[in-house]
Amino acid sequence: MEQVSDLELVDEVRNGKREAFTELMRRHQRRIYWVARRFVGGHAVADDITQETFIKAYLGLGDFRGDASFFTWLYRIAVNLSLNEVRKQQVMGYLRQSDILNRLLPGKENPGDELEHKETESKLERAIAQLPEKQRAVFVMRFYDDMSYEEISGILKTSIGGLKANYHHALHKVREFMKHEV
Amino acid sequence: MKYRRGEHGDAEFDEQKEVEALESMLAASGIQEPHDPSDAYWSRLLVGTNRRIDEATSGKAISIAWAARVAIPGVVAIISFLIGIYYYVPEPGRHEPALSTVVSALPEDALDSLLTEHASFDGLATSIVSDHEISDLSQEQIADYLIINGRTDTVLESLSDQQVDELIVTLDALRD
Repeated sequence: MEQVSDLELVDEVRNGKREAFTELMRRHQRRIYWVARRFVGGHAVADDITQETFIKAYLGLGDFRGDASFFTWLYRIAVNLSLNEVRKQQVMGYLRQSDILNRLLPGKENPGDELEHKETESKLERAIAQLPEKQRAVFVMRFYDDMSYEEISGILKTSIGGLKANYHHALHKVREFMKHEV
Repeated sequence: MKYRRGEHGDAEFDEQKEVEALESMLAASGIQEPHDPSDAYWSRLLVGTNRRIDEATSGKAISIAWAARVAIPGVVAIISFLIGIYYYVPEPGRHEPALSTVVSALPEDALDSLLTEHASFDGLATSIVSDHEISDLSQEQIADYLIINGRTDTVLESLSDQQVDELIVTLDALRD
């Protein structure tokens, strides 16, 4: 039986067929999860971002014009949500450095939990986590998701030259990080 | 696991060589990505996401979710704030330098957002904004109060992307 295309499913959702959206989720949830996971480096947050991505997509389906593929549109939502999360983590990181996190968020997290989490975290995830935002983004999108610079440029609104430079630095930093970790 | 091999050949640096070097390093060290979650997880994810979509599209559920996630914590925060303001008068010079430094880096908007966010839910907005005593407090005093009472997470959650960006720039400058 011929598989229904994403666009046909989108039309069905617009016509009120909710199961069609479940099928869209089934098709793309794994890739969306891994985009988020590589950006933010943890299962729980990636899980939340994946759900948020689909909720946002469902609620904003009216904005999807079909210029790009449905997956590209979805991917863009996931990247934006992930980048927002990375920024917030960055701010929290600063607060941790100031050694006041436990005072700010009593009971939310303790150093023991964090240590345990770090130990189970993949070394590669940690290598990616130490990259600045733009380098992290281009690394995830190119190294893992095989995207062209043009595609990445369309999502991140950054020049192709800048992306190449960022990717170059990212590859170098990840390698250096791994050298010291291994 | 699929790694990029640079087949587009459009990079000015020797991308393929660098990617291969990293791949070799990863292969030699035996470092692998975390395992793909189980099939059961993907099924649960579908169910969970569908449930959240239902909540987001249901008026009643929105009200419940809104009350649980926003309104109730908001009211609690306002009450805590008012009680705190009543009993707590920050004394300049009594706080740790790191705390003061980081707190004072928060943009005014970030601090104000807590007040406006929670206050906008009900008539307390007027009383908070127009409260003479509160309006007399300095930004540092408000920030200290919010931080000591653990509301910084709420502040962060309420920040816009632009505010977060501004904050990161400010904190970067402080760190340097």
